[in-house]
Amino acid sequence: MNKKHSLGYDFIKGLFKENPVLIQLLGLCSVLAVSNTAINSISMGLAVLFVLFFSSFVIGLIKNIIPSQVRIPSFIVVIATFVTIADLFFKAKFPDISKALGPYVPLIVVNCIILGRQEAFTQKNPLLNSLFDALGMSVGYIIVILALGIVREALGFGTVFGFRIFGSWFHPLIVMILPPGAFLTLGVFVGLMNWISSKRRA
Amino acid sequence: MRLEFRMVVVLTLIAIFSGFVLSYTYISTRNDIEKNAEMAKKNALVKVLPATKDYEEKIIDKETTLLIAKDENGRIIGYAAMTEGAGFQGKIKLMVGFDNTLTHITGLEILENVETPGLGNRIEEDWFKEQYQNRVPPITYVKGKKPEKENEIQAITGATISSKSVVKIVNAAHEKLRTFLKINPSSQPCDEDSSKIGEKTDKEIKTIIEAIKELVPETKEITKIDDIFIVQDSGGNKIGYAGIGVGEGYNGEIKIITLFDISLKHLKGIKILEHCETPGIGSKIEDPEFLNQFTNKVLPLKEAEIDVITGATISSKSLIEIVNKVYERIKKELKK
Amino acid sequence: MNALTGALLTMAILGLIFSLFLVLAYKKLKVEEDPRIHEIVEILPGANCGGCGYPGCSAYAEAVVRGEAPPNLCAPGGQEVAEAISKLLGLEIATMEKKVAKLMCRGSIENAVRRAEYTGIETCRVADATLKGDKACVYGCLGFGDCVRSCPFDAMYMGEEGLPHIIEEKCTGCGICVETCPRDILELVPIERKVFVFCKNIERGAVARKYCKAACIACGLCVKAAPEGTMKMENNLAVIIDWKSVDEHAEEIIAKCPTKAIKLDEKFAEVEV
Repeated sequence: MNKKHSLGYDFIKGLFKENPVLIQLLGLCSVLAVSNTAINSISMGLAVLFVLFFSSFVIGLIKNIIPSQVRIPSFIVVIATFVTIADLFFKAKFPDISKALGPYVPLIVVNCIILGRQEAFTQKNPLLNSLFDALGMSVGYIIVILALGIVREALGFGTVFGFRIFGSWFHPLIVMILPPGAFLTLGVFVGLMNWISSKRRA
Repeated sequence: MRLEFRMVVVLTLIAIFSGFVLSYTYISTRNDIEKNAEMAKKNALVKVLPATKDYEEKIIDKETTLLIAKDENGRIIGYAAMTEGAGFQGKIKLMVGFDNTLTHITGLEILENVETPGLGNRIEEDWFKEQYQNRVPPITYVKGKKPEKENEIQAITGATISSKSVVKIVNAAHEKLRTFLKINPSSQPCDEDSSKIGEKTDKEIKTIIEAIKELVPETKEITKIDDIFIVQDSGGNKIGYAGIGVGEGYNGEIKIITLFDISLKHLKGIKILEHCETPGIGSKIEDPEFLNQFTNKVLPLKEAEIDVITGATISSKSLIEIVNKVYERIKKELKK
Repeated sequence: MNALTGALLTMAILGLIFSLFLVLAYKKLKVEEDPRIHEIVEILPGANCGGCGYPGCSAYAEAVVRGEAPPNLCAPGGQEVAEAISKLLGLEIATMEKKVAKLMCRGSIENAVRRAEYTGIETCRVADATLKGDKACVYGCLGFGDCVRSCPFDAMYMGEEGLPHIIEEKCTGCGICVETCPRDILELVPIERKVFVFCKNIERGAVARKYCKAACIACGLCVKAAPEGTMKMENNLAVIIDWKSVDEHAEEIIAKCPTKAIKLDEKFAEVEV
């Protein structure tokens, strides 16, 4: 029988135990692609938060009237609507960030985390739980992508959020700005997470 | 029947609702988005053609827009192409400026690129873009050494393909502009001025005096009687006669100043004051090498004496006509 | 207004076309799924442990509805689930005896002789594959804890003596640890069983004795002490055939064993042997 958890639990689980990036290994392409600077990372993270929260909200409201045969296209239309809103918002108010994030904002539509949560959670849980789940998963995602962004920007450019943090002695590691650097750093994070989890289990 | 009906109704309703929400969002953000695009375009244009005060847009093809840059008087000071092409990783969108004869590049700005950070996207660096200033298209690139010829730029180390792409896009833009302007010669405010060509403004007189001084450095004094400028040296001796000539070029009126020796036997030289010939073609009549041919030629000028500009025969020959017209006029005036 | 109507019309038409398409697909490709399958999935614990032998709860639900599987295979669900499923399908209420995992070896660090020093990857599977591990007895427990790690219900832990322990209150009898053990030393047994032969070494008694203090040396004294036919000697090991009878005569049987290979499970013993 599926146990119904408390709101707090549904939020917290997204941070650690069921972290979408480090434990469930979802949404990796966006994490790797736009985490080259801290500001890009946080922008992407906020976009994901917006889309996931409101998608869960709308789908949570109408989940009972959607026949299960059309649930996937219905979910996708809802998700795509919010992604488009986010994309237009960036283009209008923050054109530089829109340029930097490029095609990865529209790609949030097919980000596994969003559709995954709707399929796995929202469609069979109460609305309020789904909202907390969405928040938890988003915050978990933001934590990881921001950490990755800060590391990559610091080692690859010598700055964090545009502020120089190393002196002139520092030679930037170009590889950190490129995909291999992202892969390696993410791999280290996943390993760290596994190590922490195993310590807690023992 | 109920389930199938519900399937159709629910999905269609969700789709309609989505369309509604998105239309509203689009309408609210449309102005900001357009404003941002305009800002980006204007900023890039001013970067490549700094004296621009106003501009006119003409769409050449799907990827290229021509921007005609004008100064505060509405005179054309240059042409810019906003265009795009394939880079190494994706599309490169750029703005390249040319002078108003389409011979030199005045500047380059990269608008959009998705090239490799740290390598290909170094095309956005100042040193790379500044290389293009004053270069003569078609451009070629060199690797690993400083460019020597006036059509060379140095490619970025480790990003040859990105550099090559930029060169290709710039050259293509140049070609497209040339072709376009040949068929649609840009509207210099030629026709409006034709009524004013008889009048002389103060600025014009200054230009004429400068022109004469250039052609005859010993000039100390210039007196004007009717339509003839009498040029004297420091000793008060007459050293030549100058006159303004106007004639029909290929695209519109051409206005020149001609300088003759006092015997009216030889042409000391000419200077172009105004014209609206086709940029890159007829406009080459401004080329000093071409104009030098006119120095010390026997009057009246014979067509055979002057090598016409390739592809701009009419513009070139019209100059000969104008010179001879002025010659006849001054001869008649002086006889009186 | 034109942008609005354009968008609405486009989305409406797309929605219409695709939903009609889906209706068609649904009609043509419909698989008649028995709604009871879904109900059974709701009853099952949803752990997808595979203990029933099927790949996940949905697969087991299908098998039960099809009549291929009995309704009492879900160990984690236990009696409660078995009853609920039986009721749903109108079957006789099947009983599920609670089974727990047991380790059929007492080759602790103290008892078992080591013949080598092993510095490889510390999992039983790898150690077993590496020249059969570092213990002299190649049938005994290696103590690296693959079984403990495999338990989906957190019902096992490694003891200090180098042998895994099963917490019987948490053990659901799913059988994953049994599958995991590369030496097949773990077995699922009814929880009320008392007497076991805690050894799997099939070599001659003298040899086995050299390898481990708690080995079964195949002396046959327990078989003689047990009622006729309830035990036998096979492959140099004592084997219990009728555990209920053996349990009844536990005291006299286990008293005979010189090595205490056959004895009461620790939870029944008064003194730790």
